[in-house]
Amino acid sequence: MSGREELELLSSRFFDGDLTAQENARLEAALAADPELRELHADLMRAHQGVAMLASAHPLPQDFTRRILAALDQDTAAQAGTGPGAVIHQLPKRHWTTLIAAAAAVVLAIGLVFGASYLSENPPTVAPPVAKGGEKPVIGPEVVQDTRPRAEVVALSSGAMRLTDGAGATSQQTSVTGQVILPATVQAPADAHVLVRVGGGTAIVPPGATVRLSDVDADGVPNLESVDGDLYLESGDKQVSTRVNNVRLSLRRGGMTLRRTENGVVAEPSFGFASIGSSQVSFRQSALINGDTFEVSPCPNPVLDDWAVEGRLDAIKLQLRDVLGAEYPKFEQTLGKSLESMLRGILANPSEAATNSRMLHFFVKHGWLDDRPESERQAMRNIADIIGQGTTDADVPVPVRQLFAQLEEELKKNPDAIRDFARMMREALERRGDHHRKRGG
Amino acid sequence: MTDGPEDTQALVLRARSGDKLAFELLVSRYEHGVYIHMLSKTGDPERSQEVTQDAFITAYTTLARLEKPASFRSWVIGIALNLSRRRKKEVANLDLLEASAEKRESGALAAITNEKVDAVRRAIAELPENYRDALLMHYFDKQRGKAIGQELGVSEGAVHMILLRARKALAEKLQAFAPE
Repeated sequence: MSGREELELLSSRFFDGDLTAQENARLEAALAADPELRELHADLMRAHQGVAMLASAHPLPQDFTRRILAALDQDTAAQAGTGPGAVIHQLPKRHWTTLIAAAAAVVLAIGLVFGASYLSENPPTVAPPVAKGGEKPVIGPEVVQDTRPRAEVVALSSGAMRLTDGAGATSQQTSVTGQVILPATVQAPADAHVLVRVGGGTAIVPPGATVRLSDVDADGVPNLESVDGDLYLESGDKQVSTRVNNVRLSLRRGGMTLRRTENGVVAEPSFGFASIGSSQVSFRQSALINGDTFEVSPCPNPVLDDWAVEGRLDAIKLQLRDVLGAEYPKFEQTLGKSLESMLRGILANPSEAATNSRMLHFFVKHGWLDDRPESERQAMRNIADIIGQGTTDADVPVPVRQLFAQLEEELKKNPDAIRDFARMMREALERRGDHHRKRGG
Repeated sequence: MTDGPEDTQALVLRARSGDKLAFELLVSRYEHGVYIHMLSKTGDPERSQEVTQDAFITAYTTLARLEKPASFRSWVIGIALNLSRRRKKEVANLDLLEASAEKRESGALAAITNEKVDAVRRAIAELPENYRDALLMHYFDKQRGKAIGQELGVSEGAVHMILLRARKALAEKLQAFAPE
């Protein structure tokens, strides 16, 4: 093999990420000295990025393997030799376009609220979506030199939740942001969910259920505990702990449903890494906790409960309602249903949720809503946070992360690009607005 | 993933004896590569997902017929291609409707990226078979040199050369997207 061929191979293997430090140095030196090799390297990079873009544009749903196995189970159970055609309906009927297209669609759909001139020629003046919390507890009097533990809490609901703090003060409100004296409880209203975020964990509390906020393990990080009813718990990068009776459960980059049954509390991880007692459990397993003992068993077809998704949906709607004010019912009649359906699919899939969340943050960061009030930008950030609850950057497919990085680079070179994008977005919004107006929205 | 065809062979043998976990590992290893292979042929994400799913199900139920367990991947692709051909006719009319719906629903960002993605998909479909296989195994099955070589019947060194040539060929086809 000639020296030239060796260098070309190095240039290609560079994109496999397996060059040694010595090989890297050799390639760098050669690239610096050889314009033809630089041109080839740029060509190879174009091919590499093209395939990466194809991968990001056409990911498989995260639960694709699970769907195949579920379909196999059905097929095996049927034993009727119906052939593969019988299981086509296992696939979702909605169009799987692309993760990026889906993210752009969410930006479009949510953007309708923020940029939607068709709803109102004069957008409503909005109050900040949530009250700012300070050092003072969000409820109860401030006691000078009060040493009781407190935690920064965010709780959102479309109805009035009941918050009782460690000092015995109670309040009923739809949103809480700020310091709360521990241990505290949050009881969801009878007809709405509550999303509670504290100490790196997020809980969805179904209607009527109660969650306790306390530092169970005295490590300075508050925990979320199910007191009454069911609970869905999510964690991001940080490990989140909870307990049922004296059984400790922990979760990292994942979600877990705690469901009360006649036989005890059933814990079902839906994704990520979970442990119950000293046992690692996967999303294909569940644990029945009875008293202080538990038993792990297979859970072949785990399904995230609808209410776990509905809770986040409610919290998003709350933000939209704050932004739109009196115009909200009109929005709900025209676009609410399609947005809801899109969001349900996204919230149930960590990969899509992570991508969409970061996409929304990306656009706000780059000035997409700079001509809107800060309260609207904050509402958009809140929505992005809610969509991305329980996910981390690691949930964003690698090629999509690479695409974000490329976009960042493009924007550095051409800061006006975001304005072009905003213009395109606005035109698309107007077209959709026209479409909905024509449909009588 | 670093597992190679020996492991694929072992997994196929385990799956044949009823070990579902082994089959699950095979599915998760090859599903994306099979899907992209089908996508490069059909250009239709939804139909490609369907045939990918059904190809694995057919593979599971006919695993005993696979003569070379190490060739599991290409065997599944063969099944998927057959399924796709069989269904092409019956869904042709539906496709036209879906394609127009897809265009209507595409967002602004999708419009920016779709052209290039489509060009990449077409370019991959036009590559010589061993180039395409090497690229798809590398990028979508997350296989590396030795494992790809065993599947293609060439040495690890030859795989690096194939990948270099495949990237060159792809870059040539994507010349229109090169910066001026």
